[in-house]
Amino acid sequence: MTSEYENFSVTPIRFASWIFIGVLVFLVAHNDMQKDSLSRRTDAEVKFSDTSSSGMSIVPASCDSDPHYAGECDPPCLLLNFCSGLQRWQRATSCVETLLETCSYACSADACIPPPPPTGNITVTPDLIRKSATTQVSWSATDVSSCSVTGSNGDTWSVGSGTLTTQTSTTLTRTTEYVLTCPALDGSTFRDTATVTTAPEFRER
Amino acid sequence: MLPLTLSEIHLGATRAWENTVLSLNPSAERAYAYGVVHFSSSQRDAYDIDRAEYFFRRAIALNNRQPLAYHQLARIAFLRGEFSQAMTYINNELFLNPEPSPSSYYMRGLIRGYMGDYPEAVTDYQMYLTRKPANWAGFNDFAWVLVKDNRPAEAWEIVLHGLASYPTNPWLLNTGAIASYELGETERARSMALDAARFALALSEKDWLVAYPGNDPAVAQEGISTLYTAIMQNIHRASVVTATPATQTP
Repeated sequence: MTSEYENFSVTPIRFASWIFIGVLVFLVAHNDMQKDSLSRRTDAEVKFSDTSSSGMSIVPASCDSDPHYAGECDPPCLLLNFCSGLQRWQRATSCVETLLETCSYACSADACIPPPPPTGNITVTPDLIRKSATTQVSWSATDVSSCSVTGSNGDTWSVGSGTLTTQTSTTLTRTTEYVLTCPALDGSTFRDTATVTTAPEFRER
Repeated sequence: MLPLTLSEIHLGATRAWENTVLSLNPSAERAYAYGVVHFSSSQRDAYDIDRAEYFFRRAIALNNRQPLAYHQLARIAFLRGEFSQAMTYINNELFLNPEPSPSSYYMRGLIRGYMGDYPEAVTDYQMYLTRKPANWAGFNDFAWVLVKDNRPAEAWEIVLHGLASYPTNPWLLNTGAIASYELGETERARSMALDAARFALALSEKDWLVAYPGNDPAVAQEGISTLYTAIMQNIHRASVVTATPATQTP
């Protein structure tokens, strides 16, 4: 018993039929191509920009006029740097976001903002005392991470910030210098001094 | 000229196939689906607005209430600048379709805006935004017709609403610049227009085609140029006003 496939042969009639079908498809395709060249141009929207009463140029969009592509109506991702807290990010046109850096102080308007230079001062009140008296030592500083005060008499205090602080000295027997030292946020070190003077003692003879 | 490339022959054969299938098994849904294929700006090879129109008309001939068929004919007429015809089609869609797409209101607002019927266009955009309250182009075009209707303060509010979600959108920034200018805020107008230019420069053809679906992909670059030129004109106008000193009385 032989199958249909074994009996199949390319007869001249079959060959001519294939050629005929091929030519038919070709002609239909060609006919459509010719129609293409006659398509009317549709640029009413492309070149349209409207004007306001003051002559400014407005350009309407038409996104979502097509009910089938609502999901594609999302706004384009543009190359953009932006801040999120202290972090500075870049959004690529592919909509992928990459962390560029973490700012040490602040991130604003797409850029890291450097910390401002430190400020502060130290005072002693009163700054003139009798021997064996005490004085009030006060200090404050901004844009620093911590502060310490050291007196030439051995007094020391340290605070974990630059907020206004007041301490009472130990009894002073001689002129003493107090030094305020604060590591600043910009990497420098802030330094200031104050001196308390002990008045000389006068004795009648 | 004879088609020479394989893709052209493939396209022609596909069209012959569509004709054959639709003749053998006519259905409004199928005709509509074929029309959509030829009316997508994302399918450059298949894009053929005349052929899309043919299929949408076939769909209506087979079923006068085929959802969105009149809507698509309105879009085609709109793209050709035949606004009265487009209005007839979109009104048919809104009349015949018991549950019209929000996009049909958007489309009618757009057509009315182009025809200069701003108060009615405002109503259509309100209808659209009630149904789809977060579309950037809806905000932009609503603000456009408000500006044209001499309501810049309301336009500015709408732009602000849009910019809260889409701060880098060049269309919204440009429209915000115009609303600001109309309100006398020329420095803000200039600043916003400069931002709009910055972000418009980064637009690709693909981005533009998302904003203008249905347009021939071959003309995307022209569309980007139109937007950019408009923004540059606005920067110039706002800069001139900002730089001009107030007139002094002697």
